[in-house]
Amino acid sequence: MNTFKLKKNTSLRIFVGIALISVVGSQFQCVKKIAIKAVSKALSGESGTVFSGDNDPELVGDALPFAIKTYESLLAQNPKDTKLLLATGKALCTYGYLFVQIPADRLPDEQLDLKTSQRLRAKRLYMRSRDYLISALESRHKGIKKSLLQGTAEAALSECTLKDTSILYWSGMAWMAAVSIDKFDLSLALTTPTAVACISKSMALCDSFSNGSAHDFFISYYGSLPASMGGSIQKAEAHFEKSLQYAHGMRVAPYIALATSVCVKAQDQQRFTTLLESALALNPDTYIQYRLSNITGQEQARWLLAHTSDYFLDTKDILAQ
Amino acid sequence: MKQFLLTQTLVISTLFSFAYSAPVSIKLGSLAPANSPWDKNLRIIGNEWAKTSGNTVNLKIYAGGIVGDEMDMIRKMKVGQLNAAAITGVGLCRISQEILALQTPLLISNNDQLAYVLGKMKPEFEQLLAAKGFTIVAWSTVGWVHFFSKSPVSTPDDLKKQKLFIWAGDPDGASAWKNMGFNPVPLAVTDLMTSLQSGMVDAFTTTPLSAASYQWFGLATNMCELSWAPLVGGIIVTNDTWNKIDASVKPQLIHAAAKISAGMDAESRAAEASALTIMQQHGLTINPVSQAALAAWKTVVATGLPKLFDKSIDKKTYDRIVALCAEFDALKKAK
Repeated sequence: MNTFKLKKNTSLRIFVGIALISVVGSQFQCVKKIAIKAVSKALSGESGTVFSGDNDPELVGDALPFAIKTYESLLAQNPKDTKLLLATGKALCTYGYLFVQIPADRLPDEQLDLKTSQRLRAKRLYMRSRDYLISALESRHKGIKKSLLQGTAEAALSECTLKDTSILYWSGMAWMAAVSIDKFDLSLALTTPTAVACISKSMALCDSFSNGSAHDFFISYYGSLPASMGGSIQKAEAHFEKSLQYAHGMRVAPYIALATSVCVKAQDQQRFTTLLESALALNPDTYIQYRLSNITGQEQARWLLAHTSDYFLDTKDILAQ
Repeated sequence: MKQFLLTQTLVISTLFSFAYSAPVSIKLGSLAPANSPWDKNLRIIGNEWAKTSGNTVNLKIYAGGIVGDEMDMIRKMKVGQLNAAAITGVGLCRISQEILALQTPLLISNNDQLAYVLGKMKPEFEQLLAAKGFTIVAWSTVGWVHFFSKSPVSTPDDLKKQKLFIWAGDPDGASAWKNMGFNPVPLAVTDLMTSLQSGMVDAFTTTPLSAASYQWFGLATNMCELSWAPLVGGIIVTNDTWNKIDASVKPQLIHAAAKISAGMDAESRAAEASALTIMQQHGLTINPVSQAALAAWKTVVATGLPKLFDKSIDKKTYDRIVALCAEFDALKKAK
C-alpha cells in the first residue's frame, strides 16, 4: 500500500515536472530550472522502493532504459546534481548487471558471438555508470575525479564523509563490474586498486551500509581472486559472517556470493547447494526494500542449481560413462 | 540357419556401430579465466567439434582453474575424473619430461625458430605423450619468459645481485640456478606478491602477459629485454576418451583445433604486445641487452645446463633441438 502511494506520488511529481518543462518556453529559463530541479528531486529522491521494491523484474527491466534516458536528459540541464548523478549511475549499473550481463552469461556456447557482444555492452554501461558516479563525487569534492582516474585516490578519499557512503559504494561497484567483465582490458585492470579503495572507504565510513552490501563484494573479491593476487578464503569467510550479521536474514546476496566464489573454488558442491537453498528459503515479499534484488538473486540461485554440473566435476557421472 | 546368422550378424554389427558412434562427452579443464580470449577460443573449438561430429563429441569446459592447477588436472585425467585439459609446457613436461628441452633457456631465440623446431619435434613429442596415455590435439605458443626485477637487469651480474623467485619443488632447478651464480629463493607462486612486498625476493621470471595480468610488475618495474625461454602449451585428451571417438571424424577434429589454436597464438602475441605497452605506460622499464651481454648470458647458461642434463632436461632431445635450430638458421641464411 505504501509502495503504491510512493509510486503514485513520484509519478505525479514527474508528470507535473515534465508538463512544466514542456509548457515553459525558452524565455522562462528560471521557471525551467525550477521545474528541472523539481523533476530531478522527484526522480532521485529516497523514494527508492519504486524499483528496488518491485516484484516484477521484467517490468523493471523494461522501465529502466526509459528512466535512464530521462535522468540523462535532466542531467544535460543540471549536470552537477549529485543526487541525480547517483540515481543515474545506480540505474545504469543495475540495468547492466541484471538485464544485460546476467542474461548474456546464461547464453549457451552456441551463441558465443551474442554472449560476447552483450558482455561488452554491459561493460560500456558499467563504465558510463562509473563516470556519472565519480562525477557525483566530484560535485561534492572538487578534484577527486582526477585523483581517482590517475590512481592517486588515497588522499582524495580521506576527505570523504558519511554522506558519501552511497556514492563511493556504487562508484566502486560499477568500476569493479567493468573490470571483472573484461579482465583482459589491462589498462582498466590496473585501476582495480582504486575501485576497491572506493568500496573499502564506503565500508570504513559505514560498515553496515545497505545491510552489509559492501561485504558481499569482498566475499566475491577475496573468494575468487588467486592467492597470488591477494585472494583469501579466510577473508572471504569473514566478510560472509559480517554480511550475514548486518543482513538480519533480509538479503540473499551473501549466500550467492559465497557459493559462486569460495565453494566453486574449493569444489565444495555440498555447501554450494546448501547456500543456494538458504537463498531460496527467504520470502522475497517480507522485505520490500530488497524485493527486486532478492527475486533476481533467487532466479540466479535456481539457475545455478540447475547448472551445477557446469561448476563441479560430478564423479558419479564419470564412473557411469 | 543362414538367415538367422545373417540377422544376428546385422544386429551385432548395428549394436557395435551404435556403440562406436555413441556421444562422447569431454570434460576439459583450463586455467584460462572464463570469457577470456583463450576461453572463448576453447568454446569455439567445442562448437566446431559438435558441428563436425554431428553432435556426437561434446566439449564441456571448466574454466579459470576451478578444477585445479595443471598438476591437479593431470592427476584428475589419470583417474578419469577429467577427460581433457588445456595446459602449458609446465604441465606437458610433467607428463613427458622430454618436452622441457624445448623450453631450455636461450636455446630457441624467436617465434619463427620455435615454429620450425616444434613442427619437426611434434611427432616425437606426440608419441611420447601417447605412451603416457594422452593425445595432444593442438599445440600452441603461450609467450616468452622474461626477467622482471626491482633493479634493472641487462647482464647476468645485474641479476646475481638480486634474490630470484623460483618455483618450489624443483631441487635440480634450484641447484642449476645456484651453479650459475644466482640467488634462487624457492617459493609457492601464491607467495610471490607478498615476497616482493617484504623484500624476500627482488626478481622473478614470467611472461609479460602474466606480469601484467597478476600486476606483479607494479612491484618489480624492470623487465630484461632478453627472451629467456619460450612457453608452449596444448590441448590434451586422455587416450581412453579419444579412442571412443569415431575414427573417421578425428582428423577433422584435430584440423579444427589446430586452426583455432593458430588463431589463438596470434591473439596471444597481440595481447603480449599490448601488455608491454600498457606496462610501460604504468612505469615499466625495458632494459636492453647488448651483444656482449647476450654472450655473457649464454656463458652463464652453459655452466648451469650440465647439472640439469638427464635430471630435468633430456640431453638427447636437447641435442636434437640444437641441431634443428642450426638447420633453421642455415635455411634462413640460404634464402
